[in-house]
This record gives sequence, C-alpha cells and structure tokens, in this order.
Amino acid sequence: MSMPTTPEQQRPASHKTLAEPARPREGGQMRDAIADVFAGLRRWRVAAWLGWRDAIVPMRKTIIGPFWITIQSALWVVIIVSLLGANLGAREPLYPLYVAAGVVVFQFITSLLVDGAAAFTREASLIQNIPIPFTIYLLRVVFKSLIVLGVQLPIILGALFFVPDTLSVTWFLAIPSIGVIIFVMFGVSLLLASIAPFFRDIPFALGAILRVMFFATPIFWLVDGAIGARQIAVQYNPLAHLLSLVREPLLNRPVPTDSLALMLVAGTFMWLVGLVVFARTRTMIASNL
Amino acid sequence: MSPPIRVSLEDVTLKLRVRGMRGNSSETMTTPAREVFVGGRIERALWGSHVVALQNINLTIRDGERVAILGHNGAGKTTLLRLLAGIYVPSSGVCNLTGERAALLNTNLGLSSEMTLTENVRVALALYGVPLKEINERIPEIIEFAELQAFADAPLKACSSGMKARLGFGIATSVEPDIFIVDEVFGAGDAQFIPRARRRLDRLFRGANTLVLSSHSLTVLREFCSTALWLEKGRVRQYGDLEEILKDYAAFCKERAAELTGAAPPNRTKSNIAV
Repeated sequence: MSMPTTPEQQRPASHKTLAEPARPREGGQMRDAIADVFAGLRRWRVAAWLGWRDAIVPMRKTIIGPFWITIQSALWVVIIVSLLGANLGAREPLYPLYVAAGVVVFQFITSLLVDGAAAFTREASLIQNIPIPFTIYLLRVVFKSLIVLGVQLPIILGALFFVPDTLSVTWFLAIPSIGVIIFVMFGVSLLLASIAPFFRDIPFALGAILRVMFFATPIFWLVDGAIGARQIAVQYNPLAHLLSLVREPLLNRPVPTDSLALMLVAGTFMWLVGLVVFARTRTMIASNL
Repeated sequence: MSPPIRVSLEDVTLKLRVRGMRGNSSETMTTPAREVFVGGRIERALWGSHVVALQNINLTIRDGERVAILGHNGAGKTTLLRLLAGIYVPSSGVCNLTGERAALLNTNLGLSSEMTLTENVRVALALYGVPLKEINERIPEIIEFAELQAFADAPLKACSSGMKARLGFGIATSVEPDIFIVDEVFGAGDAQFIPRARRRLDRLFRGANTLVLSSHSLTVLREFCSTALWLEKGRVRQYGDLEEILKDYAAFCKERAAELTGAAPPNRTKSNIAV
C-alpha cells in the first residue's frame, strides 16, 4: 500500500512507461493517431464481426432477413426505370443497368458516410467500457456497408436480363473502383467521426444533404448530354465521380481516368485532414460522448 | 525492491462534457442548509458545461495491490476506473498506466441482444484482444462458468440481467490482465454466484495481479480488497487501510443519515451501507 506521494517519489528513474502517457504532447498526438489507425487495421477481423452484426443480426427475426435490403433497392430501380425510363433514359440502351448500379452504389456511399460519421457517437457505451482503437469502429462501418452492397448484387445481375450481352471482363474493373470509394470515404469518415462528438449537428446535416444528393447525382438522369445545373452537378459533385468509377465499367465503358485521378487526390487530402483532426480530438472523444 | 508501479496519477483533473444544460440551476438555487454529497461539481461556461468528475487526484498503485474505491453516487468512482482502464484521458495532470489491463465496467460489454451467447462471447473476446486462435477454445469454459450451457445457442435477450452479469463477469475474467478494473457488477449476481466469482478472482490474483474494485457492498470490498480509496465529489478524501477507511466511511454515512432524518434509528442508518 502506498499513500499519495509527490511526483518525484512516484516515478523512479527506472520506471518505463508502456502505455501511452495521457497528457497530450506536441507531435505525439499525430503518432498516437497513426498508431490507432494501424492497430485498428490489424484487428480487422473484429471489425468484420461487428460489421456483420450490424448488417445481418438485426434482421434475424425476419423471414427473408437481409434480402429486405435487396427488395427495397430493387423497388427503387423498378419504379425509376418504369416511370422515368422512357424520358430520361431514351438515349441510354443500358438504362436499367445504369439505374441499378446508380442506386446500389449510391446507397453504398451514403451508408459509408452516414454510419461512418456516427461511428463514435453511436457507440458511446462500448467506447466508454472497453478500450480498443477507434479505427475499429470506422472499419466496422466499411464491413457493414460491404455486406449490404453484397446482398444488393442480385439487383445488378437482375438488370442484366433487360440489357443482355453486357457482362464482360470490364466488370472486374468495378472492384478496384469500390476500393477507391472505400479509400475516399474512410478519410471523410475519419474527419466527420472525429468532430461528431463535439458537433452533434453533423448527422442531421448529412441527412439533409444526402437526401438532396440523390437528385443531384446522376443516378436516374444521364451524364451524357447533361447541361446547365446537371452539368455542374456532374462536374462538381464528388459522389458523381465516385459513382462513375464503378458504373462505367459495368456499362462496358472504360473507367474515367480524370475522375479516378481526382478522387485519388481528394481521398489522400481527406485522409490527411482526417488524421490531423483525429489526432487533435482523439483523447477527448470518450469524455465528450 | 518494491513491486512495479501499475498506476501513477499526478494531480489529475478530469472534466466530462455535459450537453443540454438548461436554466441556471447552480446559481439560482439558494445555499442549502446542509452540504449535498451527490455528484461532482458542475462547471458552466458559454462554450459548454462540464462536470468536474475528478479533481487533483494523486494516486500510486503498485503491482499486487487490491484497492477498493468507495464514495457517494457521483463521487467519481466509475470515472476513475475508466481513467485507469485507459478510456478517459485527464483534462490536466499526468496519468501513467503500465501493464495489461482488463476492465469490467459494465456487464453489457457491447453485447448484442439478438446474437446468441456463443456469438456474443466470441465478439466480446475479440474486442478484449484475445488472439483469434484461442477464442473458440475459451468459449465453452466461459459459458460453463456462467452456468448458461442450456442457453449457449439462445439469443442474449432470453437471459435475465443477472444471467447477463454472469456472462459478462465470465468474459472479463477469462483474460489474464495485470490490472483488473471492476465496477459494481456483483449486484446482479445471485447469492450462489458470489462464491463462484470469488473462486475465479482468487485464481486470477494468484499471479500477483492488481485489482481495483468499486462497490457499494462492504462485504464484497472486504472480501477482495486490502486498501481503500474514498472519493468525495471527485477528490480523494482518504486513501489507506481498508478497515480504517470503512470505519470512517460508515461513521460518515451514519452522520449523514442522521442529518437527513433528524434522528434516525441506528439500525436503519446501518442498512443503508451494509449489504
């Protein structure tokens, strides 16, 4: 037993600190933040289990389970194609596939964005009871979104019935494009999740913006021949660029290299900004939840 | 040579953010006739209010010590435990923690009520950082300890809070930490579970592990601890030998109860603090 003592007595010279000292130090914050990211990435299996739990487990009580997600998106596609196809899709022979890919990928992006921004605030009880790297919570969102994307693949395959002879090797180029989306959105989530504990308006702002973005993104209207406000939306809406990276190869067209370059630069920038902000707020997240 | 230091706190203050404060209660309230011993000090500011949950704490815990944390509701017990678990970081002061830590702060442990017990144990062990190869080997032992074999494949929501507490205790004590941090979790276990829990903790302590335990049950504290830290409004009121502090604490509680009731019958005051 020892009574409270002076700092000199408490720390013998030989005492080596294994855990990170708690007081934020200049320079050390960034190192700790990067260490958190690597520690989280190393424990990706935990994140995968948590993501699976988020995506699948809540639907266990239902009869068809996660395929409700498939049905929900399929209905969107069917309604859009049947109501708007004649007008908006007249110049696009692959319109059903165009819309199916648009709806599914847009949902993937919004899921990464919305769940990613809330990754820490939503898990207050876990964060305050088990010390694990914060990055695990962000990675978990990636896995959850990938699972949801996976159960929606039948929609894209279903669209092939209406646009035959479209399946080709260029489809495989959509896979690295999914990777690019994850890369960009992980940087954005890191930034948003790190400030969300301090600004609780973020989920509401995202909700308001993303609802509009469904219309401001070329999901049911065509990129080709977009003029006026649509042309601006195609050029300046990052979601339009991310979407085209996946959709173009599915439509048997080359991956747009300008969008690819733009998104790789933007993603790197978001990672840097995200890391700087995460480094500044990381130690304060738990006590602000 | 004295055992290695596990916890070293130097002048640690920790403020927790409070959102949604309304009105001006701390200023408009008239000075109470007697001092109130619930909660920490609330600090209001234009840019956000805080509860000063811990204030100027100095503390050294060495390997092998078994420390009881006691104090009124809101004294800062759980906050201190979270600090020791590495979850909270001090607003000011220095906190040095060494060694493997495991915290049983809440028997929920992020468990999902829809998943089966087996699945929950698997995820919880993974969260605790148990190597994946060992997880499957440990699951049956934990479920057996909690005596929940019949529920292994049932969703967690089929379990009562006491059963969940057993499972949570089993999970947290299946890792072998240097420092074991436990918050009031015996409450939900039934009488026959306490001896089981004790046996398991005894086994855990054989390797000279360190225990920090918060509880309102004096029996539990006596069972497991030798040292006590008495917190009052986020400050250390006393730190030292358990029995001495329990004596002072009991006297303090009795005095407070007498203040509250005017002249409380002694047996009633006692029941407030004893198990």
